[in-house]
Amino acid sequence: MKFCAVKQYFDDENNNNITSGASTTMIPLPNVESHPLAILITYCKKHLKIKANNADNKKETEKEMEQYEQELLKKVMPQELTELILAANYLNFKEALDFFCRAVASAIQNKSIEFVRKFFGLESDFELGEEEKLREEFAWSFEGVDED
Amino acid sequence: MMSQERGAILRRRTKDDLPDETVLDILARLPVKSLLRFRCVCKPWYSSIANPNFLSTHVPNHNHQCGYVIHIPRNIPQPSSSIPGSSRSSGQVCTLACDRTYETIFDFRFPFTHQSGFPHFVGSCNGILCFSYNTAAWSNVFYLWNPSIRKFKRLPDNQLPIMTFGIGCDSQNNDFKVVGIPQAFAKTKPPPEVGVYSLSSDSWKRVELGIELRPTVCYYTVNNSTALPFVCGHLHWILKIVEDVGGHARLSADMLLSFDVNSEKLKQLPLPDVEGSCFMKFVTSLKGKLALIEYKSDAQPYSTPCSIWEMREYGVIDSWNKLYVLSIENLLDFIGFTNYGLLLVQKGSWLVSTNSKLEWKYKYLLIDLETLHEKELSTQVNYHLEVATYMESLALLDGRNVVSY
Repeated sequence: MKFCAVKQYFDDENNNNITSGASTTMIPLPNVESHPLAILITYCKKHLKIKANNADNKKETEKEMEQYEQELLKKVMPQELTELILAANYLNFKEALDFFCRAVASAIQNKSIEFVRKFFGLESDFELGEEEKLREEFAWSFEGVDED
Repeated sequence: MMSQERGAILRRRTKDDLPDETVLDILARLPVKSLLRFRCVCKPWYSSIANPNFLSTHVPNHNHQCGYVIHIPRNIPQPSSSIPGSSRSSGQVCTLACDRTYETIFDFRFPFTHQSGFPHFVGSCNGILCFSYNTAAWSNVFYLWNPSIRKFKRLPDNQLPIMTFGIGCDSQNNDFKVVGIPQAFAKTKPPPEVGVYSLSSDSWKRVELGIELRPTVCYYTVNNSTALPFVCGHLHWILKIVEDVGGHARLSADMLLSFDVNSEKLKQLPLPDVEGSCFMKFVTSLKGKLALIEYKSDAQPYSTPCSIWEMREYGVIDSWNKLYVLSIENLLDFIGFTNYGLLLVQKGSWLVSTNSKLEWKYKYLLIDLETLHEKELSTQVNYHLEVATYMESLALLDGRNVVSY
């Protein structure tokens, strides 16, 4: 069970001896929207399927997963990644969390500071002149940055 | 470690913001150029990126499938004066290449020079390259250089005698150390000491050798073909020891020393039962393990027999394992192993050039030790190369006397 938070729920239920038909139990997930949840479920199913198909061949599994991940990224907007990460984090779904963190890193690595601030909802808290000084120190790292 | 940053990464803790650990996880996957720029995003990001603990978790997301190596020239004075880069250190470059294909990516120009001209490559560790220059006064000037963030530092002068140096990192304390043992020792001189520089204290000190040498030992010499291997937190040297065995007879034997970079203690490690003392030996690293190469030069014309051993389990007496035995023709020098375990060597031979003159040509070959297949590199160099693993890191980001360029 990849969604560890959900697994925890089932474990807790068993501990409390509540009989439940697994197929009809409704598990409350107040912190996850339906859209990211749908993507995560698809991701999870795909991952398990690929793993089953390539039972002994770890390298094949990795390769196929990579191809699937590349395809998935094309359909997901960078802004949606934050929601997906929060969902994966809440559900304690490690592989997806890892993948989406990598995706965010890839998406922001060549972006400007202003883009990054907007993406993470941050504001500059530097004193006047401090930021300029820092920019100067590594001026070369500002070369070749994507236009906003 | 993380608890110090908790609440410090993002200033607004709403339910829509990413948790601190996740943000740090994302940052840890970024290339250094991005990290240096993102220091300007806000103060909490600035201090997280500068935190030495972050440095150790930083694993940049390689977009390429290859690891990287850096080729460093070791210049040999040439009789003719017009070989590019032969005598001017200001023209010297290190070449960054893809480990698998050896395709050149770009050149890093040396940002420092010294009047003696030729930098000697000491070693590389976690993104830092260490070079030394022999000064006229028979001492060394050292530089630590992180090309990925364009910073270097000249180490404070030391009064150490001529030594064989290596560089390692003390991962427990996030520190780098440059360590040297005397290149030669004679019985009549005072007991040898180890010289240790620590980046965190920015100073040199001397440490006792701590190795018992029998009273019959007359002298030893240290001679390593390549940069000293840093494996499992230890630096390694091979000493050639010469002892009096009665009458005028002398026996020579080899001793393997290992220096624990964290505890700064030196100890002896076992060597495998080897071919004999007429074989030259040196240690290097092979895929993260300690390896021993022994070879006999001048055994036959132009062909060098050699054996390659690997220490399967570090420090374990019986774990030396002979991996390969082969003969290499026209071998001039061993350079080292690539990340994939291919042996890079330098060969030399006389070739008839286009104007019918005999010319000495160097070439560099990668030998696959399983198949013995040799692949010549297309590197157009006519001098000796050192090869080191290259990686991006934030080492030297802050510190005393660190110079940006």
